[in-house]
Amino acid sequence: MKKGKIVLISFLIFAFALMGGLSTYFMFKQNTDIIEVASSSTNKSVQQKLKDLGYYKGGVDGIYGPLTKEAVTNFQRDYGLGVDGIIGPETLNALGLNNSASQSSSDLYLLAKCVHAEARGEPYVGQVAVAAVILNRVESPEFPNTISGVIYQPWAFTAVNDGQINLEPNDIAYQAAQDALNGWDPTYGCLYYYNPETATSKWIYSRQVVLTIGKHVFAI
Amino acid sequence: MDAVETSKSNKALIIVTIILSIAVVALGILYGISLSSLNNFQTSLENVYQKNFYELVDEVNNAETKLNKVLASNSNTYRSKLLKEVSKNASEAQTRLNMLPYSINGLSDTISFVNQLSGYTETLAKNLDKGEKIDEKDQETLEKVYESVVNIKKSLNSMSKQMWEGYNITSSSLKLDGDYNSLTSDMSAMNGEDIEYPTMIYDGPFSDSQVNKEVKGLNFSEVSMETAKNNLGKILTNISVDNLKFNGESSGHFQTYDFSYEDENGVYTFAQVTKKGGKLLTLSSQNIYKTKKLELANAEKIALDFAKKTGIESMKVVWSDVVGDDAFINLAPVIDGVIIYPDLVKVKVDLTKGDVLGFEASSYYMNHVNRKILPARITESVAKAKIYSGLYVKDLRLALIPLEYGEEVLCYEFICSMNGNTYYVYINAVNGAEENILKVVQTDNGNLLM
Repeated sequence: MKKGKIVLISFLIFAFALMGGLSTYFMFKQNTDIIEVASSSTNKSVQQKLKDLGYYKGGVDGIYGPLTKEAVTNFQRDYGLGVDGIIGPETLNALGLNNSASQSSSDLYLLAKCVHAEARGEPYVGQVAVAAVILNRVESPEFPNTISGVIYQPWAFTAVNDGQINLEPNDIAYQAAQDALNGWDPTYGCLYYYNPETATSKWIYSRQVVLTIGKHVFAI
Repeated sequence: MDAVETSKSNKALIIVTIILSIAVVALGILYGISLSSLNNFQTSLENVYQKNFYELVDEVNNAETKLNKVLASNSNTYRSKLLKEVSKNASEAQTRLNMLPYSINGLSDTISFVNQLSGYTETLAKNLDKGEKIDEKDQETLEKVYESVVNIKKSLNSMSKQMWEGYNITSSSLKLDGDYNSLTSDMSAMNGEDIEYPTMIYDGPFSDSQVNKEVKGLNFSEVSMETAKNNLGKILTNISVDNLKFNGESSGHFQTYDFSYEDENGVYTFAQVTKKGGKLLTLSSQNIYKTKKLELANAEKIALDFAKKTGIESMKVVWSDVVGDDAFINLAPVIDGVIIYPDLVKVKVDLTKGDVLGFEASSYYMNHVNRKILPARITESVAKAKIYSGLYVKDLRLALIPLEYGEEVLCYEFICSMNGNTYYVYINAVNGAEENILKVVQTDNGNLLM
């Protein structure tokens, strides 16, 4: 009987280890799926359109589930697009869902992506301010001289490091990016911003603070 | 416990052991596979970093040699050619430097120096091409700049040696501790600790003179926060003053009181009022309506009226465009028929309700002074003869335009078309030089001037 108990216990331990291992695996795997999450309103219009075209059989709920993914994949295959199941700009264009967030310039798209990744949930003007900081860096000698150079400068933005930059930007982020490109700069030339609650760099506190918008402190 | 039962439990134990062993082996294999793919990724990343690093070394070495030759040359043509090459080397070096994984504060002095080096040498070359000479002051600056480049080169070369001994950029960059990721001492020595970087003042990109611009248009005395709030209340007539929340002060180029307001739909409006004079400087809000009801002409009138309410008068619409459901309208003063572009005010109007969602007057308050505009020295027809003959002129007006580095010049603004494209061509009204050409680029999001 004793041995039976030992066997049972070791089996349980093994099962736990297996579960732990698997959940860790899936946790990391999920990370790579982040890219597929478009905003739910975009998803809804995509689902509706795919339903009209006969690709999608599920409900129009704005949730990017396996049925939606399959429909998107099939649609992409039939229309000769890159088959990745992702609702990207190309797919949106092919579906005729050219919302105001259409990608006319890669700079606007990139800027909107960075704003969305770094500042979604912040007040609108806070998002304009983040876009303005990126544009101020382009103008500053201390930073790269292009928008893509600034955004992808190693260690410059946490949201670029952890892959959130690949989230599809929403309409607000586009508006904010557009406003900044049109010359709006609520920060008047700031080059840095940080969230005092989460900032890890002590160095950043040495910069002169210009203003606070939402959770972000903007500094020169 | 009888024999049968013992052998049964022994069997179970053996089976479990086997299963566990298989699991261990399988996990080991999986771990090995993921580790090797991780290694592959790290190696390819490291290769990219090393390529960047060695290209950086090349560019700096080249810049150093050429700068040295500039100091030794006496021919303006040859000097100009070399300076242009140095400018290109510096610009390439800057790109490489920015792709290395060092924290943004780690090398900012160096990056700044390299950027200025590019702008400075380019400006010198342009001056030489115009027939100007390199004066004593520039010669002195060039010598100091050369010294700094030599020092950067030394740092980079000793870091190269570390790389040959196996220094790995990727793994050292992963030791980021929040403040500095372990820059090797050679790299950090470059960041203004052991190297002195000279000040470079010139009429070109990234010049030190560009950094500290002064505010010209706010010669007023300071007002209190309450006055500022009341002023804002008078402008935003649909919001009661009591609902405006004071958010603190900003202290950038402009000193401002910041206010915010949130309406019943959760739309957040942010406004900044200058301490000097209590003028509305910026207003920013977001458009939640998606139905276009108004025409651009309505929006233009709304924009002009709004500017008047903030105290900016005698403005005219100089450019307007619809982007999505918003109208972006640029206003500028017109004095004696001359458009004053440096004093631009930008207004964003939503085309559903006609609300002003954005207002930006920082250029206006930065540059606005009482100008004395001298009459044009050349006539319209002389200016017209200066533009490219393939352009069809649709309209023309006089305009004061800002040149890139602070100077303002009076120009004839020709609105032209060619092959279906629209261009704005600026001919200097004093000497007939072609100062600037803007092209109207139509995008899905409206028209852009580039």
